[in-house]
Amino acid sequence: MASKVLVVDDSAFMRNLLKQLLEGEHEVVGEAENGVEAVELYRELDPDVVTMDVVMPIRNGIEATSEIKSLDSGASVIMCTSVGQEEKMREAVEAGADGYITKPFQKPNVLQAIADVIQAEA
Amino acid sequence: MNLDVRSLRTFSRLAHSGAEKAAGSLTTLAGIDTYVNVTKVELGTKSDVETEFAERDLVSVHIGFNGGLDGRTVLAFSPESAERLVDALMPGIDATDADGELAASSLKEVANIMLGGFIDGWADYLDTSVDITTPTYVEDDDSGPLKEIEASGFEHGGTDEHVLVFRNQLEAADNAIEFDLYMVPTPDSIGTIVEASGEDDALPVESFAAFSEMVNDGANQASADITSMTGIDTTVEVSRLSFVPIEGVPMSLTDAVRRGVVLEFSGTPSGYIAILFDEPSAENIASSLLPGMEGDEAMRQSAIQEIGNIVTSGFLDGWANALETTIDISPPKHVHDLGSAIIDPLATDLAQSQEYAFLIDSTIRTDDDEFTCDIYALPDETELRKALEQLSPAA
Amino acid sequence: MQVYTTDTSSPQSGRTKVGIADYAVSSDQSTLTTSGLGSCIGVALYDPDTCVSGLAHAMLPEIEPGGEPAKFADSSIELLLSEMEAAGANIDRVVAKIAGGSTMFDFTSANGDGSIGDRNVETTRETLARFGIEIVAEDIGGSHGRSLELDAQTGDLRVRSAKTGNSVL
Repeated sequence: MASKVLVVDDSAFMRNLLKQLLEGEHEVVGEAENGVEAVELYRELDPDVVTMDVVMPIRNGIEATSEIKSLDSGASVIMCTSVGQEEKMREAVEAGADGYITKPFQKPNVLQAIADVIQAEA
Repeated sequence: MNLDVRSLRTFSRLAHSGAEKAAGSLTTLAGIDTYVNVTKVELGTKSDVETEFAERDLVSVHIGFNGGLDGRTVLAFSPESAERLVDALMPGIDATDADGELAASSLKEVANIMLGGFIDGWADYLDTSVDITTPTYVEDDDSGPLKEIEASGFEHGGTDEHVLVFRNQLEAADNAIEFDLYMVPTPDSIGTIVEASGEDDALPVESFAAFSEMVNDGANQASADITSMTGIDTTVEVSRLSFVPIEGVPMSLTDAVRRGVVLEFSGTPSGYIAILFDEPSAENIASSLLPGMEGDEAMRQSAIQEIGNIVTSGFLDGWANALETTIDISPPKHVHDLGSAIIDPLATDLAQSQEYAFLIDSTIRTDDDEFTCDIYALPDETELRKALEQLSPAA
Repeated sequence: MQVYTTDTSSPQSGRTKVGIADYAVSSDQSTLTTSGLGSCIGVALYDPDTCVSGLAHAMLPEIEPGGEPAKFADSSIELLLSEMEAAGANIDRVVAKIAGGSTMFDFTSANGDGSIGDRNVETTRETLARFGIEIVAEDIGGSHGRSLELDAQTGDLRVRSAKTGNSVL
């Protein structure tokens, strides 16, 4: 089943790549370039899943994730980042992230991660 | 064997003044201005050194030294640089010298004079005498410089054994001739020099070895990430940790225009990282990431920034995990400027608090030369030292 | 025993390369070059009567105790002037052209005193003013790198930039 996805990444290239990758599988309902925009768009669009970059200007993805989770404890957030440090992953879990994908990612992994969080929610 | 920052400084100074003397010899001998660009003390394993020689097609002259200090010096040229130098030494000679014997003998003589001058300073510092052997000319050699050393009685353990290499980048005649002067002392001789500089809070060489292992792992991860993103096979050509006077960091690059990203990292250690491509490489990598989107410059810039991001993470995550800490990485800043000028502000910022730097530089290349990616990481010296302490076997 | 050594320090051709934290004087009309100025400052000094010229490439503004003089703008200018004087230049005639001092990145570590590039320019101006040397041309600041070539015959300072192309000061 197609889900509504909010893509959060400061890189236009990455947002584009994710959109291409999700095409035909899920619907990308919005794109945010930083953590502040991500929270605003989350309120506005109420997506099923958020893919969240970690290193972003203005507000990073970990902070944005905790804020989204405090707004909506049922939100599904998948960290989608090049940072593969174990300590950072722990921080993401503490912030409430539901999944963690490291870049460069492959299509099956992204689709699987989305399927898993949707399943968990259902 | 223990090593500390003060002895590294002593090494660096000795090597630099020796190289300046060697450059002066060539200036006089060949009538072409020769400069020492950078003197690096490289901390790597024996296999790192072998790999570097094997990857580059080099013409070299080897001279051993023994007595108060034992080891080997190597003067290494690209074939083009060797040809230009021979031409400067003996204009018009190569046409009549079919088997290259005269060319070889002139390069041997150059090496003899340059390397002799290089070694003198070390002997004086240690208040000892050092003899040098007769030069050996090596062309198209794939056995590496250390084989030679072993043949001359230089005892080394396995390929993982740690070695110190003093590497001086020299150039002559307005960059037309570029070459490297290497000095590889035996481990015992390094011990001799460390003792002479008399430092007692030295770190065991194993912690440098452990760190340079992390640098290698980081470079391999970065290479795998680039391959996974672009679908093009890449290999790590060089990856090394060296100790350099801070002003030597930008001088390791030319002022050719480069494109890429600069990022700041903070934690233990903090510092700067630059991921740079030459212009054709930047074009090729952007095209492979964005097939069919040649016109969209903003998207191409974004793609280069993202690859910088991913390469940086590939490079630094292993450090953070091994040191059980986190390293925060800033968003990538896109750069498109003279190579040395890109690195200059990074080195200058650190120059406010340190005179020498640990420089990590790696080169990742595709097999067909479609693109080359250079990574330069510049950690804060004091913080890196703390990190190295953590890696000490005793800690 | 008398030891005969060859003086291996004098340049042979018409160009001398100035490194970073380095300076050089030309009294035989040879060209002085330096590359890769980012936040660093390049100071070109020239005596039009004798054609004695000098070029310094400094990293940081003011020298600190124990610092290497060629690394800092103030001390490298002093050194350059005294060597130029020794080579026959008259300080009263010497004029300056300066280039570099850009701010390429805004690092988090930058303190409130402004960027290193800005501080390099400021210290260079102060030091030159202290010796009564007029700055006749400059290409400073911005966010790009520069490479320099000082023609000791004419005093022309050629500036190469990846962003703004080539220019002559």
